[in-house]
Amino acid sequence: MHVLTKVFVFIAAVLSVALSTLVIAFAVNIDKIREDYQNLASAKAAIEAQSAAASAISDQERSRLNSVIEQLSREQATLKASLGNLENERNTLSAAKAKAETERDAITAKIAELGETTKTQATLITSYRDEVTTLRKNELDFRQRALDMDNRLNDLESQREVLEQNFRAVQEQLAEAKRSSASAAAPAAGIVSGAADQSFVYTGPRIQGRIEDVKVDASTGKTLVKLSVGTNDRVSKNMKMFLVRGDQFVANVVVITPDLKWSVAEVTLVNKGLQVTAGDLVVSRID
Amino acid sequence: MSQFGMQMPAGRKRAASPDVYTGLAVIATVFLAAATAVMWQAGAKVGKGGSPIALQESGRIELPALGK
Repeated sequence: MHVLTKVFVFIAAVLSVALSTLVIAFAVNIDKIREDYQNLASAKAAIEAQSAAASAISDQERSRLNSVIEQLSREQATLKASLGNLENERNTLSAAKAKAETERDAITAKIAELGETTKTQATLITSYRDEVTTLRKNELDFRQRALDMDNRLNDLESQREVLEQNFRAVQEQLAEAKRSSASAAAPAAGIVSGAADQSFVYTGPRIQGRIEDVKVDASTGKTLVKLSVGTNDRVSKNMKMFLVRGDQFVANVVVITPDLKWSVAEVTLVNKGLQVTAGDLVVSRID
Repeated sequence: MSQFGMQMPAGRKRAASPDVYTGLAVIATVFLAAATAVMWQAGAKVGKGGSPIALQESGRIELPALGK
């Protein structure tokens, strides 16, 4: 064998060993790389699956958020509308406030004016009060003078009544004297009467009054009446008077106790079927 | 072996000269060298740290950067 052959065979053997070493290493590395690649592929698939799931979840979340966004958009629109309404209301209220302030100022001015008017009226009232006080004082003085005059008048009236009573007494005495003289002369003198305690009919001016009360005397059983006329009206004791009701005769009464302004009489004759009642007319003669 | 070598023309005790086997050896060497070179380059691409004979660890593959 040629030496070159040996050399080249040796080199070939060495190269073969080196080549085999390289091939083995390469194969091992390739196997590991392939294994790792498969692991990475699996991991990638898992990650992709997770990503798909996350994507689905994100899609759901996105749709949910979109719906929330839409809802919020609607709420925003609603709030904007409410805001617009509130703005309009605010403007309206501002205008009303300005108007109210203007009215307030007007009222304040009017109050001030009324205050001045009140002061003026208070001054007037004070002057009127003073005037009224003066007038009342004058009226009191006038009334005092009127009372004094009334007292004076009453005194004079009392004096007049006393004088009138005296005059009537004198008249009665005169009439009694005339009756006494006439009873001795003739019974046609105008007084139908016998003794002094017998009843008589008054022939002077007609006396007229009313029955004020009717009572029955328990002791005697006789009916007594109270007349509204007395000696002031020329009524005297034993005077015979007549009770009428309308145009109907009721009874005869004889005065038993005369007073100044009233008298007590006894019923002597009653019309059949009738009774003496308060309010009946009593006259001295029936015309 | 020497018996066969004594019958073959190359087995005579004379100065050997390059023959076909030398050429085949040369060709084999050349191709082995070429294969070794190719495997060296390929191994360098997949070997750990760029070394063609270094082995990668499972789960911790370290490949050289592309273009290196």
